[in-house]
Amino acid sequence: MSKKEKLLAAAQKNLLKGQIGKAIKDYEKIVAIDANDIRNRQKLAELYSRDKMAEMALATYESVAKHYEDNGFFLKALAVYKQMQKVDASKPELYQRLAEINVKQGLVGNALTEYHNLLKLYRSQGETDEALKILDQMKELDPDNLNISLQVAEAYSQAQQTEKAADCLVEILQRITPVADLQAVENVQKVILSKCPATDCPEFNPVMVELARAFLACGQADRSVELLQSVLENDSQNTEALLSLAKSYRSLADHSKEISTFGSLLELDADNLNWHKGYACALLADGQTEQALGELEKLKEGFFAEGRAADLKESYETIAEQLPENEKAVVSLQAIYEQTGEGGKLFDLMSTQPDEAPATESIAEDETADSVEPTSFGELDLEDEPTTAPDNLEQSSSFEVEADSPVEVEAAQESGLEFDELDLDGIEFGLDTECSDDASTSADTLLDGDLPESPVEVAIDAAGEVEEAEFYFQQGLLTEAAQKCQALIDRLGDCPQAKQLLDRIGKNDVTGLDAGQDKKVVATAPSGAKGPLQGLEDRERSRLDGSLSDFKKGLENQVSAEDFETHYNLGIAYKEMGLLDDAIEQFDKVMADPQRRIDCLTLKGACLVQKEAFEDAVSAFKEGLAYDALKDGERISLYYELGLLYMEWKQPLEALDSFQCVADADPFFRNVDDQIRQLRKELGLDDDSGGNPSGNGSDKNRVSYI
Amino acid sequence: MSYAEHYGLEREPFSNAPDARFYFNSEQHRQSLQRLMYAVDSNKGLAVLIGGIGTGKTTLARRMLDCLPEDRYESSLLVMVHSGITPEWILTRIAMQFGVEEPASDKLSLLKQLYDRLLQIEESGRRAVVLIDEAQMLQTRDLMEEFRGLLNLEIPSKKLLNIVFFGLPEVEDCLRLDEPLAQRVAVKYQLHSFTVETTTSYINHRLKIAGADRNVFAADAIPAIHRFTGGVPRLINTICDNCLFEGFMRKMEQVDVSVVNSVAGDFGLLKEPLTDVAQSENHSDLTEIENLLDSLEHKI
Repeated sequence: MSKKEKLLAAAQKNLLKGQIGKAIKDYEKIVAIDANDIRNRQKLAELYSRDKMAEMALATYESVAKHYEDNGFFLKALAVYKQMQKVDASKPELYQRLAEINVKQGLVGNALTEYHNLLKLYRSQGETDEALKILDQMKELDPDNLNISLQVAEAYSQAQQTEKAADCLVEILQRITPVADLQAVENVQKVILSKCPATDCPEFNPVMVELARAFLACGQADRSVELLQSVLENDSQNTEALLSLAKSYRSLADHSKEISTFGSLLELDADNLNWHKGYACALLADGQTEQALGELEKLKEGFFAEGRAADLKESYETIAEQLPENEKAVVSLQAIYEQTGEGGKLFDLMSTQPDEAPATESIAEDETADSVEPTSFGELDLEDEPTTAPDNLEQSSSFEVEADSPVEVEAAQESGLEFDELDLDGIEFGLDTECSDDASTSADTLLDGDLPESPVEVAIDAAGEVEEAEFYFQQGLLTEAAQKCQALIDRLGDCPQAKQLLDRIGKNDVTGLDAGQDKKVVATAPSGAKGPLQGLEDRERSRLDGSLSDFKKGLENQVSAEDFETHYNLGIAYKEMGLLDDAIEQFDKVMADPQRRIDCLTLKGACLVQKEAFEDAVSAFKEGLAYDALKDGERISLYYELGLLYMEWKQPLEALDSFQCVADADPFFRNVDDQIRQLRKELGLDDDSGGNPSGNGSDKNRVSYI
Repeated sequence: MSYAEHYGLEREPFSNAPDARFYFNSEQHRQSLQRLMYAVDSNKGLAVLIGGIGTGKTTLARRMLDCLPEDRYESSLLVMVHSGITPEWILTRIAMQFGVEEPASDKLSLLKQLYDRLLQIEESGRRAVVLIDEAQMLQTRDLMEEFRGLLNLEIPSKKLLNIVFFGLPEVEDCLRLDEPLAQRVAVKYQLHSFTVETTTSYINHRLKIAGADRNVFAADAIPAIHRFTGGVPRLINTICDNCLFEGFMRKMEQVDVSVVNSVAGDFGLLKEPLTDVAQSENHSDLTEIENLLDSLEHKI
């Protein structure tokens, strides 16, 4: 028997006799003989603890814990630190260490518990600064936890760090405002009022403004007004408060006050375009259309110069509706459509004007429009000679000629049309090949000089509007598409393309839609494309790519970051065109919108699956599944997509698990049952005979009855 | 014409006979299976799954057996059918299940044979697992001591045998007959009856597996089924089966709440819905369910 074994035996005997002191000595010798014997070192620490030798116990435990940590046995280290906490619960460093290891292990809940206990400890010891540091660490660990964030704000406030408390509260409010949770807003207000006594400090003004915005988001405009007025009593030039106040008045439909609030803002900065626009909109809402137009006309140039014509579109459309005879309004609206590349609407507007020439001439002469970066559509208009039948013919062709065959492309080029522009328009509006065939025929006819007797603009409208309706249809906007077709038929009496499309809409012809989309993807795929593009020369293809890039750049300049709906639609369009990276970029932009978040994650995931970036796709879907406000239907849909992804990725077990989650909630969802059955069969989990209770062919020998 | 045909089903969806195709992976079943598999995979020795009558213990035991492929596990399921069993008997049966061809009659030799066989299994890189269903029938201290002995079969730092008990909550009483054995329970999980949401999913799942292409139960029928069955799967099966038959007799395309009430009335469930009982007292709940199941079996 070795010396160590003898000592161990002696220690056992002493322990049995209850002689802990002697056992400690034995273990001390054992540890001295073999310094690496961690188990017995731990035993020694336990004995120290039992014998009330706290310091010795802690020191010994610590060496054990360090050993475990250094060797990557974090769970064991955690257990040892826990023992140390039992020996002396007043040592903050133990809580801190435990929290840190838990974080390393991904055990966020446990880490927060440790921090929470440490917080209590510091508070009981009056260590306010230390408590604050811990709260900051807790917040960093769980940034979405409203309660922790509120505690942090409260602690800053109590520590007289008013500015930091205010920053923290603003951050909280900015997080809850998009979800419009009135109860959460009221809770925050309660905390602000009861726990942060310095609410009348100027540092707290941003908090009160943010609180007002939150109330406004929850449909509580009157409470918002009340808060903002109290802010303005002390700080009458607070532009944020004034701006929010104007919005609140708008929400309350108190437009006269909205006008005067914007008036106050303009007194502070007469050059602010946005406030001018707000002022004009308020006038418009108040029924002062002429005055609104006057204001808009004054600031129009500024918006154009900044490439923000789209921002004025809605107001001008309203004015044009209310004052249809007003030339100024029409001319400005045409210029806006030109900048935003909305060809269909521009043609609509032009065709409804009794005398087109002056209006179009003004566009051509509009130097402001020339000075801004033109869109593909803008280029077309600006570069061509103004108006009348021949130009309209060319523009009509630009919508109708698809690159179905090189001959058509060449013909288009020969007739003086820029190929880039032609094709880009095709991309933008997602022409149906079938429709464009007909249309291109008519365009060819027109180009040959065989002009129809009916007025030219009617032919242009028909093609453009069918095209627009087709675009709506492909985007799934069936009502809009149907309305467009019906309006066209009503106007023209007979329009085969519109009738045809209306039939498809009536049948909700999904197959046709898919086929159309497929065709479009093939026709517009940027690289490696087959089909119609295959015949193009490299030079033409690179011109196409360049134009596509210009087109996207043009769009980026025109669409504001907050215009989520447009970015979302762009994302879908890019996805259908096979421009997956661009689609993902658009969906990423829309993620900030809680209403669209899940849709975007789903579509992003689908794009990543198409790119075969399976791991990233899984992350996207799982991010969606972890979303707090996820609805049941969305959850099912995400699990189903995840299942499809795993199947694509050849991971049948994970696929089965995902489909099973779908079936648990809704076994009739799509073909989830077939998927499960197929996968179970593939994995050998089923016995089709059904006679074997366990479903395992060899179970007969494995089950017995006693 | 059978009722299955009437509803466009390929087979009867609510048979109480065990059938792997109908396995419903509820959250608690998923969780419990994960834990039990973890216990086996990490050589924890003893794991216990308890649950009230009809909560799916046997189904889970069969499922677990399915999840133990023969290339990685030497596993078997022993179903206790009576309580008068002796330690020698169970030892012999376990030895036979593990492939001891001629089990010795004396206990010591038998244990040696079993140990050698377990060593062989271990050397082949597999784990030995024995699942015991209806473990509440192991009611003697001798039997519990025998299991403790089996759990002691080990090589340095490694257990040679893993045991999983499936049974009613009384299994805990059996384990307490041998306190050291009770202390060796490494993993324990309890199955509960279904919530109304899970009941809905369960019914839909079974219908789907049986080939349904629509919801045969009206929306208001399922909460009623849950109320009368207390969310006990076996009772749900029985009531749903009868509801489908009743609906077929009445030539109804969909089972509505009136059919459920009628069936519940036939089974004497109207007076005291089980969910209320479950809320009032846990123990009487079990007795109630047991009595009901007995009476149902008699009627069937």
